Amino acid sequence: MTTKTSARWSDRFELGTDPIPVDALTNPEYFALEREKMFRRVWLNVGRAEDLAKPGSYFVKDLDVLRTSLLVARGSDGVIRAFHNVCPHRGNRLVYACSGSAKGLACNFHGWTFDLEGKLVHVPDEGSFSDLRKAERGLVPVATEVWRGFIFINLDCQPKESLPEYLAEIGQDLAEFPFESMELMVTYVMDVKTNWKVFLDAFQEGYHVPYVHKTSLPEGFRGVDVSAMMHLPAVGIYKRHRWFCAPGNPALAPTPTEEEILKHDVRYTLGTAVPPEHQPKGVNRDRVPFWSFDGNVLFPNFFLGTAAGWYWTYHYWPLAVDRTICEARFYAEKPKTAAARVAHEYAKCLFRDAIREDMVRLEGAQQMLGAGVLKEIMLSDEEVMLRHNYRVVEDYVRS
Amino acid sequence: MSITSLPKPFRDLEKFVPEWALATEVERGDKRRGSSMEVLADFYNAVLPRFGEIMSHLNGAPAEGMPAEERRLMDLGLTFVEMSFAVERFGQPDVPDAIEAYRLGTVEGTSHVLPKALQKSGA
Repeated sequence: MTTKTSARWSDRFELGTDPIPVDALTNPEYFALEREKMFRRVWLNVGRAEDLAKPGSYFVKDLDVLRTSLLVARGSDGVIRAFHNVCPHRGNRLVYACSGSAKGLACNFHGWTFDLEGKLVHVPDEGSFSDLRKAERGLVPVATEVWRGFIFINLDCQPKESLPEYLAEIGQDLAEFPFESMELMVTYVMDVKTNWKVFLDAFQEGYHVPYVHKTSLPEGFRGVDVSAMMHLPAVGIYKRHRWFCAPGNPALAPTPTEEEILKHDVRYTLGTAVPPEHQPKGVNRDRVPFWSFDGNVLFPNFFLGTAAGWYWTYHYWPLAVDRTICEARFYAEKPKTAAARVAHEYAKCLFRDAIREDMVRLEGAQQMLGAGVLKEIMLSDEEVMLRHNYRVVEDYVRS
Repeated sequence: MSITSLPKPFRDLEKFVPEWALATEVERGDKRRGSSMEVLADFYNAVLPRFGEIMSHLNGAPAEGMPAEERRLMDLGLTFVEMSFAVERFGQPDVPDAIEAYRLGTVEGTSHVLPKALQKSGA
């Protein structure tokens, strides 16, 4: 039972009501522990399988937080694998391109060549090496699993949990959402001087909505009572992951442009309530009335927003305690007509303008948290998802 | 025939094509932020009464590989959508009180792989 009652979320999820120490957001030593004890030991999403369409397709993902560059490839056997992007000969970065398709990858230092399953297949002047056993000098593998087209990696050599075990309930919740019928429209990349949790926190509560989105969506996300604060009608807290349900306004008046848009493939834009018959599978777990979208946070840094006809993702990749790169991606149902492309553009641009509003506070918050004036920050019951995140991160850091 | 022509029923909008039929999101965003509200309102007021017809016409064109005239009409429609936010929601060209537009690296299309310039976390 996760729908809103008179009981406070923090009581129901046993998360307490204490203030949160600012240290977790500003202390470089805390960040170093997050990096070593958490990011290097959990499953992280690094791409989608459609980017590796054929055997031989590969892409490279540089992840500063893991202090490595990853090579992610589909082998000739069709299996997706990830490796550290390093040549085992003298440690050169193996692939400098961002992506490509090949039968083999040759190091540009001395020409050691690997197949896309990671095996060392060719060493120039091999006879000059003493005791070189090629079978032992393949690419260094990284644990890799794919869930619903999302490619996850884990730097733990022997992960304590498989990906399905790690995702657990949230993976099951999303099992039927139609990811496959949608395609990526756009990626926005932002390099922001803020802690990764400050960034994530801006997207896991509705308390900010009446203030931050007062111009773009003055009456969106309010359920039936537009004068009210945006209280979350349902929240789910799992061991590490969490989700919330965002309410929508069923009486949200479309703009003149939107009126035409809504006749062409896009039925619901940001902030609108979607009637039950138009809700896709895998959303609105508690069947709340006036559902708008679900925000799913796959711990630690992957936000997955699931809506009717579209979904979006945020990946928060820390560079330092006070610097984060966010990749935001917007997906929509594959358009069949030119009109559908225009309609999706409308939904996408509204999303983009709204997230630009979300991001404006992040650097100011980090600057002043870093001033050291505050020792702790306050969270309301509507910010219970943040509270859960601080708890789970703390558990990893202290482990 | 002019190389900038639109499908026949929309020839009256021809004068907007050179400046407003823009093929990429970045170009359309730059045009929005680089225009005064008067200029944006003129374009908006001219296209809005035809927007329903534009969408109906585009509903008969495929999403990819459409004829050049339909492509131009679609680009004009995409630009209209971008400009509508300035007129209908914000009352000014850009989003007020938001992170600067230039700070969003924008990669249109279906690939998740970021171009090198945006892979700042690199080794």
